[in-house]
Amino acid sequence: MERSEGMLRVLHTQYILSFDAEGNRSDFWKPVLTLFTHPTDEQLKEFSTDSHKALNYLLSDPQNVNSIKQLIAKSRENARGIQDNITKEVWEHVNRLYHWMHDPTFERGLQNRDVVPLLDEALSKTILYIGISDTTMPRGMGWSFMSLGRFTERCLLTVQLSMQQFEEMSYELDTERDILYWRQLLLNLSGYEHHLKTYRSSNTNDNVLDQIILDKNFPRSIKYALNRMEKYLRDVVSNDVTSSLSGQQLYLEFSRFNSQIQFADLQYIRQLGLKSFMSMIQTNLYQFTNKLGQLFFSYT
Amino acid sequence: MIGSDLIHQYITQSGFWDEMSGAEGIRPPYLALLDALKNLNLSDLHEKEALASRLFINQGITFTVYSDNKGIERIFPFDILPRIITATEWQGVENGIKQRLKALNLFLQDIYDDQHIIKDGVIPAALIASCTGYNREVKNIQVPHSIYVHISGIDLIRGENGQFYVLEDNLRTPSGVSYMLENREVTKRLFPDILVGNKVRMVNNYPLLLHNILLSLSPRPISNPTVVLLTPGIYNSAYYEHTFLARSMGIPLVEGRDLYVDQHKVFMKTTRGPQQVDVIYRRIDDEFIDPLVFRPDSVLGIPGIMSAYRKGTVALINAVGNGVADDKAVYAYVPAMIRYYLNEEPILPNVPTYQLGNPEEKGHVFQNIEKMVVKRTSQSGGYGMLMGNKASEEEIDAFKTEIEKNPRDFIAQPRINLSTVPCLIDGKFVPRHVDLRPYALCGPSGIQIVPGGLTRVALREGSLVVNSSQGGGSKDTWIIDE
Repeated sequence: MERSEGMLRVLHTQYILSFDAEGNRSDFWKPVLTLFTHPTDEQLKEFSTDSHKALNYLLSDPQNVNSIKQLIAKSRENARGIQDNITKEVWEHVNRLYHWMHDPTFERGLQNRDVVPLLDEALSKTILYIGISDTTMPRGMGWSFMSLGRFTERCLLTVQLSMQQFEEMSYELDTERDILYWRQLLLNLSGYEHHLKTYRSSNTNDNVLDQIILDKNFPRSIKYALNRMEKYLRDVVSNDVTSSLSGQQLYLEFSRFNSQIQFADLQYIRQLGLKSFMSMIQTNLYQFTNKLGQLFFSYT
Repeated sequence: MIGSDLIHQYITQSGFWDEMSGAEGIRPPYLALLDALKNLNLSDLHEKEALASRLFINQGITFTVYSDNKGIERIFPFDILPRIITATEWQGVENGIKQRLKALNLFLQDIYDDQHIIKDGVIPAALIASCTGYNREVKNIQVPHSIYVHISGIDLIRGENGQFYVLEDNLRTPSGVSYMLENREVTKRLFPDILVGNKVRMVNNYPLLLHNILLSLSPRPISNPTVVLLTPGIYNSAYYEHTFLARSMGIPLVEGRDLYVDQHKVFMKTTRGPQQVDVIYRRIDDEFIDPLVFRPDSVLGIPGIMSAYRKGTVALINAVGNGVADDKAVYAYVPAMIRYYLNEEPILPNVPTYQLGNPEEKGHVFQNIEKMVVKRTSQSGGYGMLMGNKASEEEIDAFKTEIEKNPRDFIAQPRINLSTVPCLIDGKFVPRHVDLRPYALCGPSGIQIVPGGLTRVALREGSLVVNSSQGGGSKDTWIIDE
């Protein structure tokens, strides 16, 4: 659900920006397509310049296993399997969302010239899911796992979107870019207004870096997400009746990794190299999710 | 009925420059738009109108009409068909506005200092002395970078031959820029494909440009000056715009009661304690800004702020006293200012203006009053005007009596046949008169003009009054690269 919400926000921003002159770029949709899916060269060529084709593929193409529709279907299957651990309200909302997306009117909305209403509604429904979970779920193991997953996804999305943007400038932080360059990334992360209100100095590169990695008040920063992950992991491990050593071990490993971020500053990141720093975070996140899955959800 | 029928049934009015249709047929800049509209039927267009209304309402771009103690939210009328101006035409407009603003800035600097322009006999001293916008309190105040007009909206019209004229300069607190920006956002939703295909220049970086200019005007040489937007409050008709601009720039929106002056410095009350304010983008008129200097009954302003301004510890944007430069009587002298200060011929002509304080000009106006538009110099927004061709004998006589009492308070201009553009009204494309307000920003690094502006349209048939208070609406304005 978190991935769907993040992805929908990116699609929304990208679609709105496609109306501006930059939408004429021949590879306008390529970054989004490669970030969220694994298109073939032919698909990439076909969808990169056509907003409607790109959106169709990303939202509902049955061939695309990472489409929003598929993600929601998987969420529903998960929710169905753990109904005893989630509230009735949460289950019903996920179920409603699934049926809304599989109703023919959804497909018809997608064929409209203006897809914004559809994206708006889908985004609202995924955000509503967060609100319903927050207000109805008891703060037990179910909630902790749910939150752990949510913040892991959020952190990964911030890392991946940022790396894509850094890649475009070859990770050259000394090449000054203005806010227009960063606007899309910040809009994707719902952090544009926060940036304008918080950062006043003219070094935009450093400001953006600070916000997306180190800002403890920005709910989509890496630091914020990792902090929340550590809290929910601690709750999971401390509530684990088996008190398994593996759980404690995972918590220690995660905390060591998290410390590198919590005590980092821009100077440290520059010394280490932005690319290495971001890759380190990404690798650690992947390793963590693998171990978490093996420890708590593996049947073998 | 489909779009192609609507286009064929479009009938222009003789004697007016229609921006879409001329003697040679449809003008080239409109061809692509019309081509896209051809296949839409009337219900598609009505759907787009309904969508535009919904978007304005959802974003809170409304004003409240109080009737029977019920607040009814209304939107400002918006016509969905965009107005198109080519990049070549725009270049002339841009050059003309830049030239005009340079001269007006030099005029303000001069008039509040040595007054060479009066001493050299270019502008009569009596005219300046009679301007309500001339503030003796700001004489000799040094403003940052000698810039007085930071934010301006210059009202332009197109005459019978398509020539642009300057109708009015707005150099105090010009409003409407949020409508320019929101109109574009709405048009993106209405005509997404057409917008991209027409190479329309972007306007959405206006708040960033404005923010950069505000930061650059800080009197304190610090990296993070505090910039605020000062609003009269929620009951002001432009309050939406104040909130919109503050949010778009990420700066605090404050009222007079949120600020105070201590030791000739302005501070903002915050939950973290007082914070010194460096730059104030004020949307309050001069007369309300400081009750100790101007109107003592003002509760909107900040007592003592003028002392801080005089000391140079705070920048007020726009500068206090700009009203003298956009006075309707001084307007007639702007071409002379351009020649005097810049030694250049004006790029954008004025509408010919008669000073009714001059007996000869007054006589000429009285003789030809049916061809004239008479305006009070102290009023704006379409109020205090007499349209000679529409007024009754009684109204004309009443105006003449008022003019005789105080002729300096009036100017007259020959009625210009404002250009027309197509509007969708009652299921038809019909021509309606428009003006254009481009917004210019002036900072230490020069003048920047966002490619576009607010097109105001007189939605009533035959009306030449475009003001929203008088039944006007607005349109998106496209500057297209050919």
